This record gives sequence, C-alpha cells and structure tokens, in this order.
Amino acid sequence: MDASSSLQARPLSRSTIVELWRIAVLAFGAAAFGLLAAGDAPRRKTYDRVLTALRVVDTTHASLQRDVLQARAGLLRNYDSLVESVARLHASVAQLSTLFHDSRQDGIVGLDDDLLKLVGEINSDDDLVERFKTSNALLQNSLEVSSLVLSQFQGDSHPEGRGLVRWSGRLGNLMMRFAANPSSDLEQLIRTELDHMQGSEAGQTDQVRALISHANIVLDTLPVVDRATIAIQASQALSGSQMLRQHYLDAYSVTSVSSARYRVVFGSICLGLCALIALFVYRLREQTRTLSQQLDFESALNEVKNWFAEAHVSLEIAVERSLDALGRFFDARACAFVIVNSESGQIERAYGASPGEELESLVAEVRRSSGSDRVGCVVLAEDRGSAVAAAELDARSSALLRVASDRFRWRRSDAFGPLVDQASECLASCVRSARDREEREALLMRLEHSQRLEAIGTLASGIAHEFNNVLLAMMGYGEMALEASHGEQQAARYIREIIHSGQRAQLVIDQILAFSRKGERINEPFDLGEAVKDVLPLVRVSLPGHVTLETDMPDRVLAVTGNPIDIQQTLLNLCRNAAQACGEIGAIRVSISTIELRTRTTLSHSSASPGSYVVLQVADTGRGIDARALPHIFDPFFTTRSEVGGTGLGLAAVHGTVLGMAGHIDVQSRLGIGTRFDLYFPLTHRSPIAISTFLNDRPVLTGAGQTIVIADRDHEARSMYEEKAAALGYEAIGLPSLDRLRGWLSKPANTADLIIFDMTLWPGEPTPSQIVQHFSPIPTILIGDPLNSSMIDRRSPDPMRFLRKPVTTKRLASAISAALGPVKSSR
Amino acid sequence: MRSSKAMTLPFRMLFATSTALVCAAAAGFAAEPRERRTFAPLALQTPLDPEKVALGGMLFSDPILSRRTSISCASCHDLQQGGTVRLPRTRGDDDKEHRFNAPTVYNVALNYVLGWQGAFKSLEALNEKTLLDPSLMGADWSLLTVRLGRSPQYSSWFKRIYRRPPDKTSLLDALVTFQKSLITPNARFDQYLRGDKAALTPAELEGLNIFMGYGCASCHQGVNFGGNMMQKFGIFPPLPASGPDHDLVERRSRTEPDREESLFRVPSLRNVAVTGPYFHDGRVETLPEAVSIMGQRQLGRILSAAETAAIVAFLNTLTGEYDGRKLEPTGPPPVKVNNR
Repeated sequence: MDASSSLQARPLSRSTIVELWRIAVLAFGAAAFGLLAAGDAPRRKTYDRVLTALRVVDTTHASLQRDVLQARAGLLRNYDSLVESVARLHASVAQLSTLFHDSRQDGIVGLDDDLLKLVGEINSDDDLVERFKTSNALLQNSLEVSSLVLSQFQGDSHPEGRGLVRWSGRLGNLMMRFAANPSSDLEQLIRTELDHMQGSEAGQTDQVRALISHANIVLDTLPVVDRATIAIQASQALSGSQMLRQHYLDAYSVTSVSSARYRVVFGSICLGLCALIALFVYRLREQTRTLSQQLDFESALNEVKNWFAEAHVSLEIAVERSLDALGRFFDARACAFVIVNSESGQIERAYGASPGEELESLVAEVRRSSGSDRVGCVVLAEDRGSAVAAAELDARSSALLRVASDRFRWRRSDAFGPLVDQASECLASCVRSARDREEREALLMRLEHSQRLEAIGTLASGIAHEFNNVLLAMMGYGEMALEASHGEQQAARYIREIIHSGQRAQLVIDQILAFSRKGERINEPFDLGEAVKDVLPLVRVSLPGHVTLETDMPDRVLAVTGNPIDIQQTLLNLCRNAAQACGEIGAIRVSISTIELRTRTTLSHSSASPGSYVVLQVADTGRGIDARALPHIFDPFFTTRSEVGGTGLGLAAVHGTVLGMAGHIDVQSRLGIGTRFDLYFPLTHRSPIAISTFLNDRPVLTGAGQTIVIADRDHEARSMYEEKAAALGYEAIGLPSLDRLRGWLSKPANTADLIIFDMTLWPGEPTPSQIVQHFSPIPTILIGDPLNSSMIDRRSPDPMRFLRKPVTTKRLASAISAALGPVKSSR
Repeated sequence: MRSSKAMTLPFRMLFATSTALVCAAAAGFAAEPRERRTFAPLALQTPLDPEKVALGGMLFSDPILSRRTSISCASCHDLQQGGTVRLPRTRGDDDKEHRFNAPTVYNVALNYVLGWQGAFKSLEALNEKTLLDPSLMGADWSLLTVRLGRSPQYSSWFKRIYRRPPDKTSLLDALVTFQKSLITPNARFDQYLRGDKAALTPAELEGLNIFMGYGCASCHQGVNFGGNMMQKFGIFPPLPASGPDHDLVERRSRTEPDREESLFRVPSLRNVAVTGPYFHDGRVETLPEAVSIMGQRQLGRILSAAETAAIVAFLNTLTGEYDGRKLEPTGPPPVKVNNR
C-alpha cells in the first residue's frame, strides 16, 4: 500500500510523458483517418436522390407527352396536369442542380453541360406547352363550334337553300381531311371556299360568319398545335435525362471506386494506428505494472535490509523476518532460505523450511542444473509456481532461496526468476554482511583480548624480572650455603628445600616469561612428530591411570620451526589440563595432521592466514569449558582450579609458545562432551634438526685458575658471581663499575682471561658488539635481562656468550668454559 | 450501364401500366359529365406552418415593406374586398397609378402563370418583383432587412421561426406561405363537383351549360378556372363602339419578340363575382359587362341578356369561403380614377 501510494505520488517520468504524448498523437491520427475513411464516401443519399429526380424527369416528361396527346385529341379538357408536369420538370431539374452542386465535393463533376442541355430542353418544352395550350384551347373550341354549326346546317332546313347545305357538307368534308392531313393545298382549298362564302350573300348570317371565323381559326391554329405537339413528342428532354443519368452513373462509379480505394487505405491506416495505440497502452500498462512491482520489490528488499541493519536483531530472526517480507511480496505459499556448504553439499542452516528430503533434493537439483561454475537462478520446471535462486555467500558456503508463489503461477517465469534471484542475492549479501559484522566484532574482541594479554604480559614480565634478581641471589646463596654446610645434615636439608623452592619459583618465572614470549628463544626446524613422540612417555606417566591416551601420529616428517622443548612443555600442559577435565574417567587423544588453508580462516582465538599448517590436536572427553570462560582461558592467572593449586599460567604459556612459533590456536569445546585444542603451526620445508641436539646436557666444567673479572653494580650479585667463579676454580675479581673495570684493566700488572659484564653498566643503549669490541681481545660474557638478550640474539653475528639472569652455577660454568675454550686452545 | 437498364425496366413497365389505366380512365370519363373533366374542386385544407402563415399575414398588411411605408400588400389586395380593391388600377408607393389592375390574391398559389402577362412562374419571384418595383412597393432588400431587423417584434419572430435575422429568403418565404394559405374552398360549384347535384340551381346549371358549350371552358379550366395558360385577348375584332383598345398597347412590353399576338394570362374565375373591376386594365365594373365583352372578343358571339345572366349566375357559384366565411362583395362602388 505504501509503495503504490508513493508510486501515484511520484511525478510522471519523462518516458511516460513521451509515451502519453505518442498515444495522444496516434489517437488524433486514428480519429482523423477514421473520419476520412468514414466521411469521404460519395453520399448514397445524394445518389439516390439524383436517380429519383432523373426518374421523375423521365416519368413526368412521359406523362406530359401523354397529356399533350390527350389534350390534342380533346380528351383532356383542363391543362392543370400539363402545368403540373412542367412545374415538376422544373422542380426536378432545380433539385438536380442542387444535388450536382452538393456532389461536386464528392468529386462528381462535369455534369453541368448535360444538366444545362436538359434545362434548355425543358425550357423549350415549357414554351412549346405554353404555345400548345394557347393554340389548342382555340383549336378545340373552334373545332367544336365548327362541327356544331356544320351539324346545325345539316339538320336545319335553311331558307337559303340547298347551296348552303352542300357548301357546308363540302366544307365539313374538307375540314375533316384537313384535320387528318393539314396540307397547304387543302388549306388553300378551304380558304377559297371560305372566301367564296364570305363574299356571297349567304355568308352574312351570324351562323355562317361564326363558322367561317372558327374555320379560319382552325386553319390557323391546327398546324401550330400539331407542330407544337410533334415538337413536344420529339423533345430531347428524355434522351438528355438518359445521357445525364449515364454520365452521372459513370462519374459516380469512378468516384466511388476511387473513394472506396481511399477509404480502404485510410481505414487500414486508422486500424493500424489503433493497433499501435493498443500496443502503446499495453506497453505503458506493462511498464507501470513492472515499475510498481519493482517498487514493491524494492521496498521488500529494503525491509530485508532494515531487518539486517537492526543491531539488536539476531541473524536468525532477521532472516526469518526477511523471509516473511519476501513471502508477502511474492504472495508465496512457502519461502525457504538455506545455507549450503559448497564443498560438502551439506545444509548448514535452513530457515523457513524443515530440512527434509524435499530440501535435499532441491539442493541437488540446483546443483545439477546450474553447474559448478555458475550460481544463478533456476526456476523449477516441475513446479511452475516456485523458483530457486542460489547466491554465493562466501568461499565455503552458498545460499539458496526457494519461493513458491501463487501470484506468479500464471505469469511468465522469466519475470519471476530474476526477482527471486535478486531477492536471494540481497538476502545472501545481507547474511554475508551480518556475518562479516560478527566476524569483525570477534576480531575486535580478539584484538582487545590480545592487547589485554600484552598488558598483562608486560606487567608479569616486569614483576618476573625483579623477582628474578631476588631469586638469583637466593638461589646463589642457597647453593653456596649448601656447599658451606659441611656435613650438617639438618641444615643441608633445609638449604636444599630452599633451593628446591627457588627452582619452583624459577619455573613460574619461566612460564610467565614464556607467556610473554620474552624468554630466551631457540628457533630451529624440528620434526613435530618426533618431539611429541619423545615426550609421550612422560605424558603417559603423568596421567592418572583411568585416563586413556590415544595417539595418531603420521609417519612422515612434519617440520616446524621453534623449540621442541617448548612444544613438549605445551603438550604436557595440555594433557595435564585434559586429564584434569576428564576427572574420574575419560580419554585423551593426541594427533598430528596437516591442513592446507586456502583462505584466511577464523579460528576460535585467532585468524589464520592461508598456508600449510601442521595441526597438533589434543582432544579430551572431559566436561568441557564454559562458554563464558572460553575467551579467558589463555589469560595468565585465570584459573578455575585456584583451590587445588592452579597457577593460571599453564595455558597462558601454551598461548605464548604457540604465538611465538607463529602458530594459531583453535579451541572447540562443548559442555559435557569434551574439548579440543587445535594448534596450527606453519609447516616449514627446512630439514629438521634432531631433538637430541636440543637436549644435550654437559657436565659441570671447572676452571684452572684463570682470572675472571666480574663487573656488576649490585654488590650481592657481584659477590655471588665471585664466589661461584671461585668455587668453579677461577680467580675472580669483582668490580662495581665500568670505570673501575677500565682502570683495573689499564694497570699493566692486571691481566684478565675473561670479563663477565653486566650490561646495565654500559652507558646508554648497550650494544653487545660494541661491548665485545671494547674489551677485545679479552672474551666477554654478558649478563643481562631477557629483553636485552633477545636483541643480542638477533643483532650479534659473532659467537657470543650471554647469560640471562638469574645465573645459576651450572649455566655460569658452561658459559665460562665455552668462552675460555677457544682462548685455551689458542694458547 | 446494366444497372440503369435494370432500374428503368420495371419503371417502363409501370409506365406502360399507368398509360393503359389512364386510357381506361379516359374511356370511363367519357360517360362522366364534361365539367368533371374540365374542372376540379379545391382541396378543403392546406397543410402549412401556422407560425409562418401568421408572420406572413402580419407582414402582408404592414406598410413597413414599402419604401415610404405608405402602402402594404393589403392596400391593393384587401382580404376583406375579395383579395383586391375595387379600383380599376391602384397606386403604388410612388403614388402613381399602376398599369394593371390588381388581381385577387385569393387562390393565387393555384395559378401556374403569374402576373397579367404571365412573366412569373413562382410566387417568390412575383413577390420580390412586387416589393422591389418602384411603381409598386419601391423597396430594396437592404432597406427591408434593416427595417425588419430593427423591429424587435419581427426580429424575434423571424429568429424563432427561421433561426436567423430577417433576410430576403425568410421574408419571401413568410409572405409566400401566407399567400398559399389564401385558398377559398367549398364554393357551391365545388360542392356540385363533389357530387352534390342540388348545389346548383337550374338557372346556374343553365349557365354552366352555356359556359361549357360556348367555349368559355376552353381556357377557363382546371382547378382554378384559368390561371394555368396564356391566351390572346381579342381573337375576334372589337365592335366599333367598344371604347379604347388597351389590348395591343401592351405588346411593347412583351419579352418574347417572336410572339406576335398580345398574350395575357387567362385569369382565374374563382371568386370572380367579388373581385371586380375586371380585365387587366379594370375596364369594366360589373360582371355582366365583362361576360359580354368576353363573349364578343373571345368567342365571337353577341351574348343575349339571358345568356349573360345565366353565365353570371353560374359564375356566382364560384365564390368560396375564406376563414370559414363566404367571400362577400363589399366596399363602396368604385370611384372613377381621374387620369383614366
């Protein structure tokens, strides 16, 4: 509803206006051509009227001729019918003239001459009829009177005698002949007779005079009447009207044929335009429908995006709501969204549908028809109302959207398919971005975690250093006290306890330093399997009896870079944890495998870049780790077993070791089922060094009275070194500063075989090579903090002797003997 | 043209059939009284637009149609005086005496030939001529249309009937329509013709016989007893003492030079008893005189007083009714015109 109203409110687009104009112009054209087609016909009505008028001319003229004959014969005694006929003829030709004028615009022309001829004929007929009427009235009257008088003469007994009767008989005879054949000879004869009688005495009576005058009138008028009668009978009016009709019909047929042709053309143009209009209107409607559908679709997609944009809505709910929105748009019976693992083809997540057989077959169908290289939309052939679209979610998974719609059932599927495709693309991108967001959040959390670890590590290592110095002294004096306790069993036992405690403290410090990765580092390639196998017996011994240990070791060599001792320590830590998690009964499985990561992979506590890895896996069937605790397991001093003596440093050390080897950790844990630690170490192709070389323990070496100058600011430490060196058989001279050392060395009597130098005495930034250079050729052993020592390891190409604090007697002995060795041999 | 032949063929058959029927009818008529074949009764009713008739009637008696608004049509064709006036010749708008007598306007629509000299065949032409003739109404069209257009009454009336302001066509149509309504049916002779044998008295029947037998009916025939043909006036020479002859004077006005005779329209004899004076120049006042002259000049007979009386008696039966009333001879006896 919202979409449609906004559609109405939206101003018409330019193309729509153009379309409307086009339709208007076409409609105008169609109307114009339609009018031309309908209007330009020679009018049938005019045609009928013309023919009727011509017929009236024909019949009227015929009746005129008939009436004239009747009147001539004396049968018709009034001239009204003649007058009517003539008047009707005039009216008809006047009507014809009007009609021809009208039909001129229909293209019928050229009839004026014929009409004028007909009018002329009728006018001359009119004149003839006038003459006929005038003369015939006299003629008829005179004939009647003459015959009346003649018959009176025949019947009466006239006093004038027989002569008159005979004359009248002769005249009657002559008159009859004249009436039948009005020749001039007869006329002459009759006139002679009449003149003769007029001249005679008998001719003076009224009757004779009347007879003579009427006979004269007959003689005068009869030829006139007959001429008029013949002329009327011979009138050209009929033929004129025939010719006019002929010409009119010809012209009409020509015009109507051409007009019909034009009308067909115009009509077909009109029809064509109408068809075009229909097409355009259809297109416009289709366009509008598509637009509104597009709008609806976009609003549905917007709704989808909005659901995903909502921070507090979880991915699952967002997907469900989005499916609802899409279902509303598609008017769908069913709307399902499935996330499929592209590699295995397994369904990872399914929304809006139960993951049943149908869905499986769906996935198979899509897989089959779309091919492996391309993911697109597939409209299922067997069910026209539903379509499935696949979209790539990421490298490992793709998404399937299946819509079964009633609304699109009857529509062409090519409109339905792309829509579903778009919807699936949108949904997939939303899911992808939601996943990305989650991943980013996880990364952020991890970053924060590692920063926290870093801070803790700095703190811990600082403490460890200070503690280390103290411990150094304690251990050193403990050892000396032990040596000085000649035979006092009790005291010696106590001192040994002190040393033992110091060693434990040393272990803790080592672990802290391992966690903070600031300890002494040995990085050499070694065979991980060998290192693990080497330590396994120790592990097995350390496990309680009811916990079984399974191993799965590959035969081939899998080399990684690092310190195998650290790895062994790590494995021991993990196995101890696992055994503790297993409680009364359980199993631990240690295995090594390789994995090839093609893409950057997010692990539980890290994100591994692509590459080849060796995975050391330690899995147990213990109680698992609480999800709340899981993010913190690698924090130092985080322990769930503080009551039973857990230091919270074991896993922290593991973490430090693994990170120090550029490795990654993935922890999967389920409460009540077990925990699995996957340690990813980058596979190296350098040839591994045997484990034994890392583990060679040499006997304590003693000196032969060589002079060793010990420079240390701390009086206690200096005294301890002096005593240790003396105990090892060397001549030890302690000096508190660099200046005193230089002063001592500058005296010609003093010769030193070895200098043990605390690096803190060196002014400014201590540079090991400089120091060594400074005292050369006297060999030097440097004593320093682990922080500095790592620097030394890296920067010094020369064989160096460096002792990390605290320095035990054993390490000191081996270092001194190593440093003096070459000197001795050179002597 | 095949189609035209096809069309005319049934037509010809119809024509032949009608000819045969007419011949049969003529044979049947032979037994009819002769007058039935010579005359015809007037139709009792004339279907016309009463609005136009009323407008025409108003215009007919309105001097607005003459140049000086001095005379109307009715000035010379007074419906109360038999459709004419009892003057030998009337005066026009220019106050000069017209050359011809004003004939009756009654039954004028039944005349085929109009005007004394038969110059007109249609009432429109005659009316126009009368309106424009300087010696009659003396008007012109612009004058008339402007005058009528200015008159609120006429203007609205014309617009109502003709849907346009008064113009030549509508004015003539109104006048002609009115004149067509001036029919005087139901004369006693018409009743006789329709079969009422008792409509005529024996004397009148005697007059009818003479009228038929002496040849009057040769020209005065048809439904209007004339009016449908031209005839020479004066077939027989006048008696020496019959007065001035106007008959040949008119020859110079003839439009047809080939006609030697001076032809006049045979006037209608309907209402002849109430439409004197007679002849084209109104030369006689009374009907017996006119009948006598006609007998002498046209039939070559000196009619006896009895014959004349019989004919006059018959002619009296030709007076019809207008507006439901029989036309009456009215008005004062004609006054002699000075310049005559």
